[in-house]
Amino acid sequence: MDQIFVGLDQILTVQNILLMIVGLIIGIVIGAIPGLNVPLAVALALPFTFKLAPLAGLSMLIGIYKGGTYGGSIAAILINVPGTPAAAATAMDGNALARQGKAGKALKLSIYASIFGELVSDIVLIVAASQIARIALTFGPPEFFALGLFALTIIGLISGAGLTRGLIAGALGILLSTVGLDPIEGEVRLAFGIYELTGGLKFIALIIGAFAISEALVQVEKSAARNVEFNVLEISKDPEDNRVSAADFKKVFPSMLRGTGLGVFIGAIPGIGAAIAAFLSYGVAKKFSNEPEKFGNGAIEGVAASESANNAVTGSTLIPLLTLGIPGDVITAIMLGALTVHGLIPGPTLFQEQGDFITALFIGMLIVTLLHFVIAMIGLPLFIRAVRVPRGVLFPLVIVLCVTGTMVATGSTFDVFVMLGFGVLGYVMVKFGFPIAPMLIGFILGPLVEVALRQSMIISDDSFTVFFTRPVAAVFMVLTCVVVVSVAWQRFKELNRP
Amino acid sequence: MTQGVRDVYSGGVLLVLSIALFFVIPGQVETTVSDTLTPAFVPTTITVLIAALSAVLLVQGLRSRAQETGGGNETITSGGLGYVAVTIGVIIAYAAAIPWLGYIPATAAVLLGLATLYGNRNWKQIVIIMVIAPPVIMVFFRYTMLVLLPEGKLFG
Repeated sequence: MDQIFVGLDQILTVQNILLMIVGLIIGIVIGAIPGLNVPLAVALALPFTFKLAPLAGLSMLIGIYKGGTYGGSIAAILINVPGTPAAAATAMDGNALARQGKAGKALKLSIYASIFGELVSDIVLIVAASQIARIALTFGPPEFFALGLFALTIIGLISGAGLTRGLIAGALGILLSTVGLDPIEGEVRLAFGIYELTGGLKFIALIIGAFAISEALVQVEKSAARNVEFNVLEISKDPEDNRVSAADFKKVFPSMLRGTGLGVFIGAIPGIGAAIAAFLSYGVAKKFSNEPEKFGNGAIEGVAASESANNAVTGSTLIPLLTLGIPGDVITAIMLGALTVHGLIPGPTLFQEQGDFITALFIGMLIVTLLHFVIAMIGLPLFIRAVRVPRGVLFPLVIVLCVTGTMVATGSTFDVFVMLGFGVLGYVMVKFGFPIAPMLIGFILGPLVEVALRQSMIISDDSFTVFFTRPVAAVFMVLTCVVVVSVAWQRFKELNRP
Repeated sequence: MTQGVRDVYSGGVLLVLSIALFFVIPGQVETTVSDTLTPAFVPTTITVLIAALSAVLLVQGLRSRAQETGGGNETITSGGLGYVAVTIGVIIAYAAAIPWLGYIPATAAVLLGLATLYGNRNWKQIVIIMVIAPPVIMVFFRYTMLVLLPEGKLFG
């Protein structure tokens, strides 16, 4: 109890609270702008933290992290342009709801689900960090391969009636991820003699191009058809369409709970990330839903599932960092830098030697979550007002921000053209009924699955039994088989329906 | 165009492309002496998978050509495609022009072009966006992201 009071005393300073608020606002704004991602914002804020006390600096970085992870959902819902990769799953139903005039409902739901995910994730970090870290440490290449393979089954779950097109899009994403240096042997693959491609296709170019530019191209085509100026979205005049009722909350709560559990689990495993957590949660929510046909057409469970999962990652990614000193992603690697600069070495000894600091940090995370809720609710009317911005203003600005964001994030004009190429590809895919999300899933999971498969083959002397003799890997392999059989059975039933 | 017809077109094109890529891959992936899975393994396997799925899509499309099977109700019009092509051209010109003209003039010009393409005829609104947005974005990147956007080679 004394430690809690000491922690409260350390964290509850005007400077810390202000830095949390500044971090959250910067995070939300940057997360909402396509092309500007959370790692970039955290990296740029790092030098400022050197002059601050470790707690103050980390409070700001955590604010940026949490705010940015949520911020991605705003543009995803309003204009179908995910600000972050994780928000791509939110866009599928969030934007469908917005197109039905329910932007207020979708935005509110994304706030509630995000805060719920963050809060539970923070509590898990505080209560069970070391236990979860021990499980996460058992993951080797076979476990990563099995988990990656299981995550790839999301493609089958989210593709619905267009299963073949979804699978092709997913395979295309994996193929595109193989461009550039081979991750094991360093050989150049599929670069076609273009020097810039030897470094691989940039993820940022894919997400901005395939989602934002393709949407901009679809919208400009609509301009030609109507030849008049009109707003992107209209807001429904029925107040029920723009609030989250108790019935809505009851309906989405199981999805939020599952999403949060998945987010916490995925976040604790180094190297997976929020996007996979969001898509996995979305797929699971659809699988368990009584109305799976509504997914992709404005299912509120879809928004809740993806948002709770991607924000639940924010607390649990700190589990391997703080307990073992292992950064799970770029953001926690930067936070590791912020800690070590101040002479704080993460690991078991940090908990023993710096107990007050850890307590204050944990309390600080809960305060950031609380402030996040307040700031997001204050900003909500502003976000909804963005819906009323005419399309002839909004999309030119979106395109300018996409080009600028890609240029800044990659430092290369070539990648702007790659982004445009992905934009054209995304546009063609939309026109021919191919879903874009599976391509993104394939692109994210491709390298993970390939590296894990090839490493597994090396350590097991080319024996595939390694995936079934290790318990965690075996569980995921069995789950993969269950999902594949279930999707195939569902498809079979659909095809044979009279 | 029904989804079935689209599936026939997309399945056919993807089948041809994936078969072509299957023969191109050996020349595009540097070979190694590795005994285990080589760098060509995943690209080759995925290409074969795409070819197989494209064949399935083609057959599905041929079977259901006469009826709409869902999965997309987007229409393609020649006028619309013209707008799309012009927009792509404008974005290419914009990206190429930034280093030469500088960020502010290039962005102002592209905003004018794009706003017109998106059907905006409110000239007062367009001028306000052209004047305000580029410097605001530039200042945001300079002071928040610590990134200097190009000022243009043509103007020294």
